Amino acid sequence: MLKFISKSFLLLLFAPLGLFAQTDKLTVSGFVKDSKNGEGLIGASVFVKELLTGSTTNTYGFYSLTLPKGNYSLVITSVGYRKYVREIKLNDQNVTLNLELVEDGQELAEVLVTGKREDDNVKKIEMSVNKVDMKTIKKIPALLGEVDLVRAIQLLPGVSTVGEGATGFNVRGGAVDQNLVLMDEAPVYNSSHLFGFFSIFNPDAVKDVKLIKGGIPAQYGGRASSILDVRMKEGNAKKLEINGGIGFIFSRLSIEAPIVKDRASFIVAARRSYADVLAKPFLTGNNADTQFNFYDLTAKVNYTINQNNSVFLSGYFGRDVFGNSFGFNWGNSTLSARWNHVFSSKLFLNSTAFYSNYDYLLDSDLNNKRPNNQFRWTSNIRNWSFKPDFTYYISPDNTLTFGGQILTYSFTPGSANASSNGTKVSFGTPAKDAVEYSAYVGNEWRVTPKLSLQYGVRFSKYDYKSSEDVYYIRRFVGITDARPSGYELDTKPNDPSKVIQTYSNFEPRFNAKLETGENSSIKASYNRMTQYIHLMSNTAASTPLDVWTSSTNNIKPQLTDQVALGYFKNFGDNDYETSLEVYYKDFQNQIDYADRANLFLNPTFEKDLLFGDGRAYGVELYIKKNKGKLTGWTSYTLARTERQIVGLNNGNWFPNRFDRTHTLNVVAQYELNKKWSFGANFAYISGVPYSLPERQGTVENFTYGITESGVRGNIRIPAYNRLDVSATKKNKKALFGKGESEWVFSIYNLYNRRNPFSIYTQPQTTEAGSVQEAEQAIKSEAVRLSIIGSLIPSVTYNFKF
Amino acid sequence: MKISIKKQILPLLSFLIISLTLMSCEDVIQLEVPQTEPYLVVDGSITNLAGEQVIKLTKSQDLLNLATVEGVKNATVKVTDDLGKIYEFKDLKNMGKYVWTPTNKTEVMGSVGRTYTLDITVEGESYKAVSKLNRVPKIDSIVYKPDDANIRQQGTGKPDKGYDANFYATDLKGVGDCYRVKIYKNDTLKNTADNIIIAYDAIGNKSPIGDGLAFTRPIRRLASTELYRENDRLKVELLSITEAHFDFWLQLRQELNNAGLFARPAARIPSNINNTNPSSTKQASGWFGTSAISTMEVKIDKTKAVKEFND
Repeated sequence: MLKFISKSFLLLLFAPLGLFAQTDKLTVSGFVKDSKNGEGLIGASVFVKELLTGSTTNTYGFYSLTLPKGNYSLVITSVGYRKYVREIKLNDQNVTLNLELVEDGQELAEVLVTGKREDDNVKKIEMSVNKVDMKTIKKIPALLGEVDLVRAIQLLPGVSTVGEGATGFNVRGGAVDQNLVLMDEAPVYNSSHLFGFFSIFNPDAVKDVKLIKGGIPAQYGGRASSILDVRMKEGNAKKLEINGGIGFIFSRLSIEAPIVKDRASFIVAARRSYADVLAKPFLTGNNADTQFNFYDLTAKVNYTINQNNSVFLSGYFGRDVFGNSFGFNWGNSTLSARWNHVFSSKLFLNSTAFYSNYDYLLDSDLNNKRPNNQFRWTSNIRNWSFKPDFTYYISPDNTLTFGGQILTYSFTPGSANASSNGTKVSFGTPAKDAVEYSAYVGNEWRVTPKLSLQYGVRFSKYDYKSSEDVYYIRRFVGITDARPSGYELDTKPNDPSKVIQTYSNFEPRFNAKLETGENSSIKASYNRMTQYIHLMSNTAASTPLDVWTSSTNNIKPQLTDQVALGYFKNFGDNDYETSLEVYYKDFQNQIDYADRANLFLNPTFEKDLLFGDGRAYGVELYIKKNKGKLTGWTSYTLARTERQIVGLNNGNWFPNRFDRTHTLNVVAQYELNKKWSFGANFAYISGVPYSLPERQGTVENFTYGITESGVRGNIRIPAYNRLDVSATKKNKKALFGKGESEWVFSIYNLYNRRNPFSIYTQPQTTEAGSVQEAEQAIKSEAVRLSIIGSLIPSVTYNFKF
Repeated sequence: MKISIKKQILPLLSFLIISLTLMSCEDVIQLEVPQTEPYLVVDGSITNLAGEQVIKLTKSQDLLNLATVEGVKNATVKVTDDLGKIYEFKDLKNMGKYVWTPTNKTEVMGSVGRTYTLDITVEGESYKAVSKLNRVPKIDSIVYKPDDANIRQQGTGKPDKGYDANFYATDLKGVGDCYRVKIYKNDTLKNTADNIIIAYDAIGNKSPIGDGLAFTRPIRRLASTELYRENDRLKVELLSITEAHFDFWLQLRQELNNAGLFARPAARIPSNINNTNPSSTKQASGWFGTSAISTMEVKIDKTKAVKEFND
C-alpha cells in the first residue's frame, strides 16, 4: 500500500514538469521589502495583470515569475501596505526587481484605497491555516496587559487548551506535545513562561505568525498535529528604532538598527518580569532570598552579502527562575544560522543550521550550605540540525519545493546527584540519543485558473540509541494493585554504540483548491504526520518538569492521518471572510499512563506506560471582518477528541483531558479615532472531562475515594465564559517629546466570573487544631479551583522612537 | 535528598503560581454524585506491641457523604498466622470494632517474620487478606533547634516561632524495607494528609538507591510539619509496613493532595482485601496491615536544643 502511494505520488509529482519545457521564457525575480524598515515581506502577492497570473513571496520575501517574453505590469500587494504597480520589459534577459512597499497610513479615509490582497483565504491553496497579524494581536485585550502570541492563537478555530494558565495549546484534538513550535526554524520545547500564563515570544521581536492545523506541506514534519511557525524581525535596516513597554508583569525593550544601511541590521529584544523586585522589601527572614522571575532575550543580525546571498544569525534565550535556598529554573535556548542563496532567478535555497535546548534544574541547596545532604536534578533535550530547503519556480503555475534535514537529539531525561549524611549517590534515567533524517519533495500546480493542487511526500527515518548498558522489553503479566500497568520489563544487554531501533515512515501530503465562483472556493486536504519524540505528562496541565522522551523499541512513533474539507467564501468587497471546515483525524501509538506511573528519574518508566489509538473530528466556523472601524472575528468549533487505551476505562473510548465540545470566541476591535481604540473579546468554552470516584471509605480516619482503576472522563467541569475589554490611547509624543507612545488599559474577566479550571475532592478544612484533636474521620468535600478568580485590571505603557 | 515530585514539587509549583499572581481561588461546591451499593471497608493493623489488636469494619458511603461512617456488625473475624495459630476478633461493643484481647498482660500477637491471614465472613460473603510483619530499625535520636516557621510549617493555630525537630534512624540493609512514620504531639497523632510520612528504605520514592542509608533529610524533617513549643512532648513512631501497604499510603496521599493545575486522573487506591468471589457486586476496600514498631519520645527542653542540625 505504502509502495503504491509513494509511486503514484512520484508520478503525480513529476507529471506536470514536462509540460513546461523552457522555450521563449524569461524570469523576473527579487525581494519585496517594507520601505520603512527593510524587513522582507512574507506572502506578498506579485500579480501579472496581462496574464492574470502571479506568485507570492516566500518567508524571506523572495519571489520569482517565469513568463513568456513581453511587457508586463506587475501589481504588488501585501496586507497593510499600499498597492504598487510596476511596468517591466521582459524581452531579452532575466530581470531582477527588488521592491519596497509603503505601509498603509493611519488615515482612516485611506482604508478603502489600500491594495490588500483580500481574497487570499479563498484564492490560496492552503487551508486550515491561520495567520494573525502582530498588529491585531497587540490590540486583543490581554491578561495583565501582556500581549501574548500563544494566548491569541487560542482564539482561533480548532485551538483550545486544557484550561487557563495551562502550558501550551491543543490543535484539532492533538496533545500539547504534538505542536511543532518553530522560532526562526528552530524548535522550542516549552512555549510558556510561568506555566501557561505568558508565552516566550517577545511581541516586539515577532514579525510573522502562522498556524498550520491541516493540509501541512511536505517541508514540515516531526510533530503529529500542527505547526506554529514564528518568524522574528530582521531588525530595521533603515534607521535606529527603539520599542519598549512597561506593564504589570514585564518590562520590555528592543533596539533595532542598521549596521550597514540596507545591507546589514540587527535587533536585540529583552523582557524581564519584576514582581520579585517589587516584592523584595516585603520578604524577610527565611524568605529574604526568594527569587521568582522570568526573562527572555531575542537577538538577531542579518547581512545581505549581495543580490544572491544573505545570511541571518538569530538566537533566543529565556528562563524562569524560582527558589530561595532551593532552586528551580527552566528555559529554552535556540541559535539558528541561515543562508539564503539565489542560484538562478528560478532556484532559491535557504539553508538553516540550528541548535535548540530545553532544560531544567532542581537544586535542594542552591547556596551549597549542606554539601552532605543535597539533591540536584537536571534534565534536558538538545538538538543540532542542518536543513537545506530549495524552491524551484518552474513557471507561475508550478513551484517545486524539495529539501531535507538531519536532526540529532540528545535526551537527558533526568539525572540526579544526591547525598544523605555524606553518602553520595547518582541516579536517574540514562541519556538517550537519536537522529532523525528526512527528505521531502512537493509541488504546487495550478492546473487551471480555478483548480490548484499541492502534493508531496516526506520520508523520515529515526535511529534510536541508548547510553545504558542494558535495554528493556515490555512483557504483559497481568494487572494487579502492585503492577497497575500490567507490564514487567525484561532486561537485555545493550551495546551503546549500536542503534537499538530504527523507524521509517512515508508521509504523503495533499491539498486541492477549486474555485466555485468569484469569491468562493472549496478546498480539501490529506496529511500524514509522524512524531518520534514524546512529552511524558500525566497531569491535567503540562508542567515544566515534564520530560521529552525518545521513541524506543517499546515506544512507537505517533502517527496521525488527517483529512479536511473546507468551503471558503468572502462577502461584500471582501469585507467579510468566512470559512467552514470539517476534519477527521486518526492517531496511532498514543501514550497514556497507568496509576502510580513514575515518570521522573526512573530508568524503567516504560513499564508504567499504556498505549492506544485516538480519533478527533470537528467542524470549525470562522467569520472575519477586515475593513472599517470595527474589525475582528468570530470562531466557533464543535469538536470531539478521544482515545482508546488498553488498560484504561475498560478498553472503551474516552474523551481526552482537553476535549471541549463547544468553543466560541468573539474578538472585536473598534477604532474610534486617531487617539482612541477599543478591543473586546468573549469566550464560551465547554468544560473538560475529568474523573471522580463513586464511593468513599475511611481508613485511620482518612476519608478517601474508592474507584476501579483506569476510570477516565466520567464527569465534566462546567462551561467556561469570560469577557475582556481594553482601551488604547495613542499619544503623538513619547518620552523626551520624540516618537510615539500609547497607554493600554485593560480588564481581563470583566464580569468577575470564577471559571472552574478543575473540581476535586479534598479533606475538609475545619478550625485549626480541632481536626487532629478529634478522634473522628476527616470528611472530604468537593472544591472548585478557579485559576483566575476575579477581574484583573491592568495598565501598560508602550513607546517607540 | 530525594525530592518527591507529587508531594513537594507540584504543590510548590501550584503555590508559586498562586502566590505570584494572587488571582486564583478555591470554593467549596455541592456536587451531584451517584448512589452506590456499599462496599466493605477494612481498617486494621496487627502490631508487635503488647495489648489489644483492633480491626474496624465499616460500610463505604457515596462520595462526599458527610454522615458518620456506619460499622459492619455481625461479622466473623479471625486472623491466622503461618504457624496455624488462630486469633478470634470480637465486636465487643456491637459497633463494627472487632477486638482481639490477650489472655494475659504479656501476650503479644504480632511477631516479626510471621505472615498473617485475615478472614471475614459477613452477609453471605467472605473476604480474605494476607500480610507479612516486617522488621523495623530503632530510632536513634530526636534533635531540635529553635527556629522560625518556614512556609510549610506556617498556618493558623501553628506557632511562628518554636522548635524545629528532626528524627534520626537508619534503614536496615537490604532493598525494599518500607516504613510509615507517625508523629504525636502531646499524645495526639498528627493525622492530616501532610502527615502521611512513608519511606522506601531511606527515601520517599521506590528506588533502590536509598538502601541502608540514614533516613534522608526530607523524611527526618517531617517530624516537624509544625513547630513545637517548650515542654511539648514529641513522640515519633516508626512502623514497618509491607511494600503493598507502602503503595496504599502513597496512592492515598496522592489522592488526598490531588488538586490544582497539575492534578492527575483519580486513581484506584490499592486494597489487599479480596472477596473470595471476585464477581460479587459486594467488593471491599481498605487495608489489613502488619507492623513492628519503634518509638522514641522527647520533651522539648530549651537546654537540650541544638544550634544547628548536623546536616
